[in-house]
Amino acid sequence: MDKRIIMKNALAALKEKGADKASMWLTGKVKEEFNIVYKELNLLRTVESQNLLLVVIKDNKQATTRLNQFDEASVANAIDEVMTSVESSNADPAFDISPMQDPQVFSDGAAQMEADKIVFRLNEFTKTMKHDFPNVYFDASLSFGKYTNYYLNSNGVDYAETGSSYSFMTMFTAKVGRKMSSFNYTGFDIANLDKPLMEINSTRELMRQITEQTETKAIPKNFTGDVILCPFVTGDLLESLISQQFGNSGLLTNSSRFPDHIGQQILHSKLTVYNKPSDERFANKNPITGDGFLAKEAAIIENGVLNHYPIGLFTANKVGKKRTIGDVDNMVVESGLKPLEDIIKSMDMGILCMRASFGQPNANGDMSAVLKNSYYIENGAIQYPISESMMSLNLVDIFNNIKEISYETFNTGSSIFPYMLVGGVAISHK
Amino acid sequence: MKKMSLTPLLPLGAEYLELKQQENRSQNLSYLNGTLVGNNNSISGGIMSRTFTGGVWGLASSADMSSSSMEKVIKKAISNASLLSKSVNKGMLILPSSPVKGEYLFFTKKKQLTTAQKIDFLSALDNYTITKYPDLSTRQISFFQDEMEKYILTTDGGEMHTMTPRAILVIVLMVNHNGEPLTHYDVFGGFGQFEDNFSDPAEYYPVIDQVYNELMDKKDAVFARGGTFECVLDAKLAGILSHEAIGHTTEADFVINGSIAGEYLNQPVANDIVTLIDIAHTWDGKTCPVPVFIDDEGTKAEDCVIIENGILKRYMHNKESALKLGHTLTGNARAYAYSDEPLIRMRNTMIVPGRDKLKDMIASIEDGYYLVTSSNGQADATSEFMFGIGLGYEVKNGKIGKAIKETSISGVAFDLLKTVTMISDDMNWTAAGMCGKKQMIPVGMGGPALKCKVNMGGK
Repeated sequence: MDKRIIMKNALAALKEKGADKASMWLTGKVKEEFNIVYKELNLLRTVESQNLLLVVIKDNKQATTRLNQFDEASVANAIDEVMTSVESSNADPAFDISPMQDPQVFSDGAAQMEADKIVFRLNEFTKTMKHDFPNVYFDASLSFGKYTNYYLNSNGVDYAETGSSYSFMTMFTAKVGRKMSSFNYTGFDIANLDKPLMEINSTRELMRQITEQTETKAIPKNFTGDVILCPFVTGDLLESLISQQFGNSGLLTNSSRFPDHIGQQILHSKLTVYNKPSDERFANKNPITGDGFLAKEAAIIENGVLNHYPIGLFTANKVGKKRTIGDVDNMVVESGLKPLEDIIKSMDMGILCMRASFGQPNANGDMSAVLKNSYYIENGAIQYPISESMMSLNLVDIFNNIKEISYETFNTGSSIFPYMLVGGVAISHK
Repeated sequence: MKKMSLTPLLPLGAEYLELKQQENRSQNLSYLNGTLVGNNNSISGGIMSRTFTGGVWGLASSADMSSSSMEKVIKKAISNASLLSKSVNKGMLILPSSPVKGEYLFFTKKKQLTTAQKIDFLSALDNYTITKYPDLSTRQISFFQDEMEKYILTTDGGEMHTMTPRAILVIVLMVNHNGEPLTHYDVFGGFGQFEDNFSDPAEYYPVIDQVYNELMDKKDAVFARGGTFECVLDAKLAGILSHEAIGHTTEADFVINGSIAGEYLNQPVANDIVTLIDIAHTWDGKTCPVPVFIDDEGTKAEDCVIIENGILKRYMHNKESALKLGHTLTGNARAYAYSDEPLIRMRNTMIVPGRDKLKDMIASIEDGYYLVTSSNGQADATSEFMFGIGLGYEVKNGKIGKAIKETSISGVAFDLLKTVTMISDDMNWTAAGMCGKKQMIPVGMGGPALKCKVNMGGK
C-alpha cells in the first residue's frame, strides 16, 4: 500500500479511537554500504529499512509507539497499543503538535548510486594508503543512502522529503615494530564522488600525523594555558555546551546556568553559531524539524549573544518560552581570518588537540578528557606528539576564553566547524 | 515474533550462508519532575542473509518478513558478494566451523504486567522521592526494557532461536548548591523482563535514599588532583575496566588491525593475581546479564579466558578472524539489528574475584582515592583507556575523606594491571551497558574491587 495512504488511514483511526491530536513520521531508507576490512574490500551490505512513529495526545496525556511492519494488522495493533498506553500517562498541557502550515515537498541529492565509482574511489583510497602510508592499519566504508520521509499531523501539516548522500568513514592506527599510535578516525557525508576521498577535509593530514604518532613524549610540565581544539573536538564540546546550557536537556532539568538570557552576552564575542538547515555546502540538509516545523536559518549565538534557545515545542511549552527555531541539525560555527599555521605561530606554549576522549560533562560544565593524537606546541611551533595527558576545563569558561578561530573548517556534511584556540585549560601528564 | 520457516529457503552449495529473522522490542517509561515525559514502545523486525564467497561477504536485508522477500534477499546477498569478488578474489577459503543448535527463550515465567502497572511502580518511586526530598531541583525516574529475539540458520549446521531481555531502572537526582547544579544517578536491574527484576516499589526506597545521600556528599566535593595515585576501584568500576581497558584490545579484529595486544600473546600483561574472562552465559552457577549460548554465526559460545594468572592467553573471535589468525572459535560474533553483520563483540567481561576485603584495601591507601561509580568509557588500540568517575572519595591515611568532583581516569591498561596488588572477594555485575563499535549492542561487565595505580584527571 502507498505509504501516504498508510499514514492517512492511521491518522483517521487514531482520531476515531479518541485521540485529540496525533502526529507521525514515516521514514524509509535504502543503503548500499561498501566496507574495507583489514585493508581490503570485504563486505557489500544492502539495507532496506522503514519506520513509522505514532505520537498521540489525549486529555493532555501523551504516548508514542514505533513499528516497522506496515501490514494492516501490525498498524492496527500499534494503534490499539498506543491508545491504551496514553490512558496510563499523566496529563501535562505542554504536550502539543505543530500548528497548520502549508504542505511542502523537499528533494535533494543524486537520484541513483554510482556503484562503479564507489568501488573506484575505495580502491583508489586503499592504493594511496598502502603507497603513501604503508605503516597505517585501517578499515573504511563508503555508502550511498537514499531516503524518503513523511511528516503528517492532525492539524493538517503534511511534509515530504527525499534525499540521498554518500557517507565515508575510516578508522586507522599506525604501527612500527612494537610501537604504535592511538587510533584516530574521520568521516563525512558528501553529495558526489568527484574528489578522491584522501583529498576531502583533512584526511591526508590526519594520515600523515598518525604515522609520526608512534613516537610520543611527555609534556615537559603540567600547566594551565592554551589549547587549539581541532574541528571535531570544537564541534563535540560546543554541542555539549548548547545541549546542557541552552537546549532541551538543560532547560527541562533546571541545570542551565542561563535559563533567561536571550539578548545577553554570555559567551566570547568571537563566537557566532548558526543553524543553517538549507546550506548548499551540506550533503545532508534537514528542512523539517523533529517536532514538525520548517527548519529556519538563524544565528543561535551571535558575537557571544544568545539569540535563541534551540528547544522543541514540548520544552518551550513546559518552561514557558516561545519556540523559535526548534532543535538544531545543521550547525555552522563562523570561521575566523587566521590560518591554523599562523595561530600556532602566535603561541608561546600549548597543545594542539586533534582528538579528545571524554564522557558526559558535569551539569555545571566541568569536564576532563584524555588528549589523543595531540601535539605539544612551544615557541610558535609544533614540537612533538604527546603521551598520556589529560585536559580539564569548564565548557562555559573556555567558550568565554576564545583567543582565535581558524580560517580552515571541516564540513561533516551536516555541520561546519573550525579550529579554535581557547585558554584556561589545565593540562596534566600522568 | 512469529517464527518463519527458513530451512526450505537455505540454498544448497553455497560456500557459507546465513539466514536471519530478528525482532528488537523496547519499552521506555520516564518521569521527569512528576511528568511522564516518555511513554514509548518500539518494535523493529526484519530479515537478513549474508554469504561468504571468494573471500568476501555479501549481505542484504529487508523489513519485509515473508518467504518471497527472503528469497530476494538471498539473491541480493549472493550478487553483492559476486560484485565485490570482481575486485577482490582470494579463491575458496573455508571458514572454521563449530555449529550447534539450540533454543534459549527467556520470557518471564511470572504474570506479565500492563504498562499501567509499570507506570504505577515508577509513580510510587517518584512520589517517595519528592515527598522525602523536597529540596531536589530535578528528579528523573526511568525504566527501559529491551528484548532481542533472533532466529538464525547457517549452511554449516548452526541453528538458534533466542530471546534475550533486560530491564533497567535509572534514578537521577539533582540539587542546586551554591548556584550550581549537582547531579548523581545510579542504575539497577539487569537480565530478564520487568517482572523478573521489579515488584514492590518499597524495595527501592533505600536505594533512592542512598543515591540522595551520595548526592549530598557531592555538595562538599573537592577537585581531584591531576596525576597518578594509588586507588581502590570499587566493584562497580571493575566491569568497565575489564571491558574498556582490556576487552577491546583483545577483540581479534582489533588485533589484526594492529592492537598492542597482538604483541603480548602468552606473555605477562598483569600481576599474576589477575584473571580476566569474557563469559559466554554462566558464572558461578548464575546466568550472566547478557547470556550468549550460540553466536550469530551459529557457533557454540564458550568462555574466553583472556588473561589467566597475569598471562595473556586468548583473543575473542568470529569466523573470519579465527580463519585469519588460525585460532579456534570463541562465539563472539554478534549483531544488533536485523540488518547488521555480526562483529566481534564482548558478552560478559569480568575480572575474577580475589581474597581481600574492601575495607582492608581502603585502609592500605596512604594518599589516594576510592572511586565508586563510573559513567562512560572509551578504549584505544594502545590499551590506553579513559572513563568518567561519577562518585569518588579522597582517601588519606586509610580513611575515606571528602567526595571528589566528577572527573575522568585514564591509563595504559596493561601497565595498570601490573599495579594491581589487591582484589576483593566480592563481585558486581552491571547490565545497562551499550557498547558502540559501528553498531550498539548490550554487554555485561563485572568484577570485584581492585587496588591499583590510576591516572586521575583533575586540577
